[in-house]
Amino acid sequence: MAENEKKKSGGKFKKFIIFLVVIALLAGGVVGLVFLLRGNDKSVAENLNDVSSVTMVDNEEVKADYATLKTKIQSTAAVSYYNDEAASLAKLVGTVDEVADYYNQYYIFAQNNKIHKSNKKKIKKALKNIKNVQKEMNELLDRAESSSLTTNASTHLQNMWIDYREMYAQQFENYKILFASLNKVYHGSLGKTVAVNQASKNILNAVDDYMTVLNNEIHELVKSDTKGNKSTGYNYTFAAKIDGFDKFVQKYIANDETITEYYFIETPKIYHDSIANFYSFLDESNFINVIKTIQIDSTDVVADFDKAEITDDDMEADNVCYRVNNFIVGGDIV
Amino acid sequence: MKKAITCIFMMVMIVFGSFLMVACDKEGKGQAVYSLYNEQMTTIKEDESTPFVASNKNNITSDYFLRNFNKKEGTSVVDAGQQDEMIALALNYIEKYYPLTEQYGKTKNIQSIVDVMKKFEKSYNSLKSEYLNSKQVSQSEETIIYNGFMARYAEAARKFSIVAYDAALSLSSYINKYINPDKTLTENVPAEGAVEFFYDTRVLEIYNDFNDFVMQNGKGMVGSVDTKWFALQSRKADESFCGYFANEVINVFDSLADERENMQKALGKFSYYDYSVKYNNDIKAYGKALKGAQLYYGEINRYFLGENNYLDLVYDYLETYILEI
Repeated sequence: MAENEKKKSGGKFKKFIIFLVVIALLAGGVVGLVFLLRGNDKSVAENLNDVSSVTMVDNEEVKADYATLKTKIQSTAAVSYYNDEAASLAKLVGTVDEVADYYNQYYIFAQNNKIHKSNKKKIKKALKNIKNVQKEMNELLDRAESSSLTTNASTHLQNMWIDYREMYAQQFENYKILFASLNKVYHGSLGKTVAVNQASKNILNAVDDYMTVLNNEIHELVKSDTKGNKSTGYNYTFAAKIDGFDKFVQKYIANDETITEYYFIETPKIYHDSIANFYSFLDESNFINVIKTIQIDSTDVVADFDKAEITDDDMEADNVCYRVNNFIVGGDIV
Repeated sequence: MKKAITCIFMMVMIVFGSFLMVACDKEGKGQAVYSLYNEQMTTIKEDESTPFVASNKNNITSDYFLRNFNKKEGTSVVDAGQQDEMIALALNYIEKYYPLTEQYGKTKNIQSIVDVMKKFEKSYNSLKSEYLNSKQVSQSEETIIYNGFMARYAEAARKFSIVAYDAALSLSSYINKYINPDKTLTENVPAEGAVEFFYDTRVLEIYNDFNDFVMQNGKGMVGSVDTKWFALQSRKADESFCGYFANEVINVFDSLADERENMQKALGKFSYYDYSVKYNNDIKAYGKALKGAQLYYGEINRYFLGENNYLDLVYDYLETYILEI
């Protein structure tokens, strides 16, 4: 009898231990699953900083590697026709970084409302893609830096540049998506703060329009300039638009006075309210048409409103058209 | 069993009913905001050993400057800090506007004001105590001890300034809710006092921003208020700003109010004192201890410190469009 009781109590104790172990394993499993599903919890601000830190803007090594590739292209006659494009691309990387920095200042204060929630995934996905492509681009630059390039150097360089452009095209498309979403969060989740006003709407919408135009141009070039292509088939036409974009960003975003002064000073207010009239009379596609006309006139970057295929005769005056032309190429407030 | 359950049920109902009666009774009587402010403001002015004295300093005229609020620096005697001016500005506002609440008798649901005024009283008593200590010791002139007591007096004044602004802002919220003197601001002919109340309250909110930054976040030891701001309380808004223009002005201050929320978020995370003293103005070093330090500092810079900061833009706006010449 006593032995049976001993056996029973021993058995109960074992069951209890097994029960505890199972609970512990289950709990550990649930915690592990939560961490796994939660994924990378880095903030958008951290991710934006991470991206900056591996581009040629903030990373001296990447900058040096790009300069090496550019020098090799420049000094190889058969592919030196890529020189202008390589110079413009470096400028565009800096311009895009400036816009990312601008948004980064404010994103941390975005309220967690419906607009923010509906754009968060797009923002995180775009940032992840940008980082991944940047890694591949940097690896290519590493190879360019270390390769000796003796036989078939021009073919090798041409292929490298075409690959690099294609990767940049992917990255740029993600920047376009990123900025469009950040624009929505900026204007929809920061409240009615000092830096959220008609000026910021005009300027950041214009950034989106520039990104649309340049994205199309880059992708057209990717399609038209393929490996084995002759230089006679190469047609790089949008250096002026990149210059215009850079001038615009330096004028209105790197120096954001017209945004912050909008509420307090009359001149930027009148100017930007007038630009807004353009949008109310004509839609965004016409703004894009004006950007498409950007060209270099001797040393100036100019847009040509008259060539922008805008047909609405009721449009309020030459003054607004002149303002819009001037605005798009980062001219002074008039 | 049934009897036990019935007894317990009846006891619960009696207790619940009593609670309801007490609560309702309290709600029914309400409290007079006027008497809460009047009691404190009368005490601090007429108290025999009040630390406050009437004076004029840095374009501020007030009955609420601190006596003996100075310290020794080498052989000179200098102000112990800007607590003096900041407190005077807050108490000036309270003194000017709390009489408006007399017309309102008793009001329900003012527990937050009751709590603020209890803290006000407690903080005033600490301030008075430190003033009396400093007064006693300063007569014997031992430099180190003198400054030690001044430091305690300054710290009590710093804490009192925070409570004084809480009291002033609670008063302005109450007046806004129940009296709403500036509701006619957007009409072509606003009611008497509408423009004045609107202007005075906007300026108070800006003074509170400075107090939060310098006295709370900076611990009264780093950061300072440009003295140009002190004159604004005694100036008047041009009464011609009303109607359509008033809507623009309201827009400006609404945008500042929304921005203030971001600024408060930044101050809630970033310590300007730590940045200046512990990290020696090295934002990268601070960033290792606080995620987002650079971004929070960016907002503080945009609001208070940078060239063309938001408050400077507001100041210029007031000078250009709002203030009487």
